[in-house]
Amino acid sequence: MERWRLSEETRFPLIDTIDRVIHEPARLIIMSHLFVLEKADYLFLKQQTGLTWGNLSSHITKLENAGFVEIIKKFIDRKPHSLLQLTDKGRKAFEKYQRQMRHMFEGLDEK
Amino acid sequence: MNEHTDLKALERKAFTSYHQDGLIDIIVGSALFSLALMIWFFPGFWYFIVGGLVALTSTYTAAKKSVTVPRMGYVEFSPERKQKIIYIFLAFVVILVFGNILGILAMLFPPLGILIFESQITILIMGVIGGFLFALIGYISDLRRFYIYGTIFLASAVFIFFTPILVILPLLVVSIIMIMYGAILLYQFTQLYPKESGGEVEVV
Repeated sequence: MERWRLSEETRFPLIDTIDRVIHEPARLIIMSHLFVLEKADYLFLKQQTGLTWGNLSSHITKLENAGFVEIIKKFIDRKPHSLLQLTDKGRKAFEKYQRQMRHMFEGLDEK
Repeated sequence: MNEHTDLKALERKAFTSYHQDGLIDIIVGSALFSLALMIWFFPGFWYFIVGGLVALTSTYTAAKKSVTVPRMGYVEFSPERKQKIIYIFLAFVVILVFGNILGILAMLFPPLGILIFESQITILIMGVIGGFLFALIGYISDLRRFYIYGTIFLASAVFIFFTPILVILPLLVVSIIMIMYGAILLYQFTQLYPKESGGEVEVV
């Protein structure tokens, strides 16, 4: 299992190991949805995330360029649909990101 | 950013919002209403309705494609969620097959038919089974309103047990409530999610 680097003084992951592609709030919520769903189209993600079309498109482009998301063309009821799903790379990156964040906050008291 | 993002809650929210269209309430309610009428007017034939399950599924799929998908988009849920839906479907099939077997036995052995289908205890037992089935659907599907439907069904059966007036009353009551509530949900859904114009966004 890939281990992230920790600073010597703290148990926090070094800032340069956090995946900045996932760490952005809009992309995080998109990745979270695609992590729990098998596939979804743009409209479904837009409705669930509350992002505008332009915002959604731009963030998905970044995720696709990073290799985390792939677009699948499928015919549904004889109409073409573009469906989005996480790649294996994207799924692993999201799981790693989850572990990093969980590790960062475990042991902290809730206030 | 919420570092304690509850992914289960996220998936549950995606699933329940996709089913806030009221379609399952209208279609299942209509099926139960038809079943109630069949039992009342054609008591010898209601057992043979396994084919109705096929019609129910086709109607639901078509309605989802024409109402929900243009408004909410298209989604494929995880294999775990799909398995839960299969369990619900299997539960319906088991109940229908069981009902069919009982019906065939009742036709072949009329005294057995009288014992099974004209006893007050049977109505109570069916109320418990029906209430349990609705609750099971609510638990598996995370659609909490099915707990209420189950409670109404059981309460109606208990009422019939003490005040024998109309044996199909539990089915009638729950089906009418489901259809009416489903219609309200459908109206709210179409207001909340108008049809998107301009089609899907293509990433260039």
